[in-house]
Amino acid sequence: MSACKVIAFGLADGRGVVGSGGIDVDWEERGVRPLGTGGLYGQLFGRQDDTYRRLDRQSKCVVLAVAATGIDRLLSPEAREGCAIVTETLCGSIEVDLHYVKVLRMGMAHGAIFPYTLQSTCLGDVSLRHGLQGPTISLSVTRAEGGVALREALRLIAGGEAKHLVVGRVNALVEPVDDLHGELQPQLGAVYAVLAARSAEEPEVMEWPEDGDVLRAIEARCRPVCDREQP
Amino acid sequence: MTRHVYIAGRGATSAYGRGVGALIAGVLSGRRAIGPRRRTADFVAPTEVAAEFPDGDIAGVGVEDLALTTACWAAEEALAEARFGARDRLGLVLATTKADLAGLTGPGDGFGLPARLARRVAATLELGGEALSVSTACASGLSALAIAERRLLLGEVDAVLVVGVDVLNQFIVAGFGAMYILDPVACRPFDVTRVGISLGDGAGALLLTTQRGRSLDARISGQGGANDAWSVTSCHREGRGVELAVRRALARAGRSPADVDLVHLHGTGTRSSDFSEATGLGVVYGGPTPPALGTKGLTGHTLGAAGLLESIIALGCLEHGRAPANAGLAEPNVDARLRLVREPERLDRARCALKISGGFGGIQQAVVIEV
Repeated sequence: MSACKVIAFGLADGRGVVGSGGIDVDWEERGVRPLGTGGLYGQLFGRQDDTYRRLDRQSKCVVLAVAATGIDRLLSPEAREGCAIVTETLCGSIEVDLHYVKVLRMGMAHGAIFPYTLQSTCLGDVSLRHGLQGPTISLSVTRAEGGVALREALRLIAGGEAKHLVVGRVNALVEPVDDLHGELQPQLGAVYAVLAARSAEEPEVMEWPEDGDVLRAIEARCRPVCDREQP
Repeated sequence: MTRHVYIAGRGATSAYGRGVGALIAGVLSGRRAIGPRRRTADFVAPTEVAAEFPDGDIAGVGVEDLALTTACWAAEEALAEARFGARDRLGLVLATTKADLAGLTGPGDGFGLPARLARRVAATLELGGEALSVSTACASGLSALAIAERRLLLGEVDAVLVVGVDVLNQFIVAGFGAMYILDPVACRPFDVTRVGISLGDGAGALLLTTQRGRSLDARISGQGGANDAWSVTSCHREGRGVELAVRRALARAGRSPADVDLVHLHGTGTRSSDFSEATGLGVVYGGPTPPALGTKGLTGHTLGAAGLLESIIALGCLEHGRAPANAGLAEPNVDARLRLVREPERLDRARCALKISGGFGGIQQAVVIEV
């Protein structure tokens, strides 16, 4: 048994957004494009958000998935002040990078999107929306290295650096990239868990999986295989 | 048994040239390594200057290989100083922002992905341990030290090589230019006339170990991370993230603010960042801080390498018992509690340094270094 427990989870992908915070939305049913609009984000999460619509897909995925955990209701402002966020990504900010380079080739540079060529900037968008002021870590991984963020998150809790933390992974790449390693395949989605030390008062919302792969367990719960295989 | 994290070896490649010796001598001399742009001269940006690797030091190295090569030079220097031979189990934590853009800006498969560069660095150095990579913008270097520290303190490994690297390219130079945060001339952190940063090339490496016998008699005694939770590009007005990161690092080190003999600042030269950092430290101290210096006015802002290079500089200042003046500082206009070093000074006591870095996304990280 892990020293931690899952106290909330959220997932956002091309199909919709779902989470233990009580959200389960299908983009198609709502008649919106994947990842929705700023207006819909405001409706779903009860807050006006003038910047959501300007975010890149990676940032939207992370923002949606974390909001779907219901973290604002789950943790007090004091708890969120110490709450860390740890993420891993294979694709990083490659979509923004490709767009930025395209503009650069035309002899221009885009100052508004340049910060989003950094894979960690999206974590700032999460932190400022939810008041998360703990350690903030963005790990870059290769396909073979899944679970790096989760292991780092467990170290933060084991070492006493955080009592609560948000951990997950995000990948946003819609168009294929000519990659020698074949790792950069189209994919769109973010899956996040809110973890707490087992001694914390918040109730567990799902059992810790035997193989320890919390993020895969959340994906399996939110998107059963039969659903995922449907066109 | 309580574990400690010791520094066993250091390596650097900077605008002062190859080697830690060149970096420390350059910084303590107060001579700016920021000069007219040469390798990057063709990139359109509203500045005439940068702190580029000296041409002679990188002669024969292709631009596309600069990040890998300079990172490996720094790493090999650190391994040599530590006389560390057991590479088959040695792990790597690599810090970078956009070091390898091959695939995006030309042929290749780097795609600006830190994990790709980490894989190449580990293969080149023939490291057999886990190769990790972190990218937390300009806080990446200290984030990497924090990641290594956790593994060492939890007893997962007994040594980790931490490397930070970023090399100037059109992508980065044009991007900062488009954000209007490049100083047209050499930057002036904390000065009333400051208008932005000066960019620099850099690669730094530290070999960390739990075995004191291998060490330089220096250790990473604590680290703390935080987030401003305020803006993705500007810093909290009251320095909240800096304050939290510093308090957490000192607590983890078992130190009080009064134990710190030298503060090595992030000190970028942007109005927002310098105000925030000074105010955050002012809140922690509630009065005058220890001597505080930033060295980006000397080395340029080396982005993902900054945390490593500046930790090496902070350690060098402790070892020499001296601190150089803040380059470009004539008239401070930040929180007056920040005691900025105005003239080169000898430190009354030189045992403990506090190093701070921050980055886009509101990320703040602090590390405590002791000798």
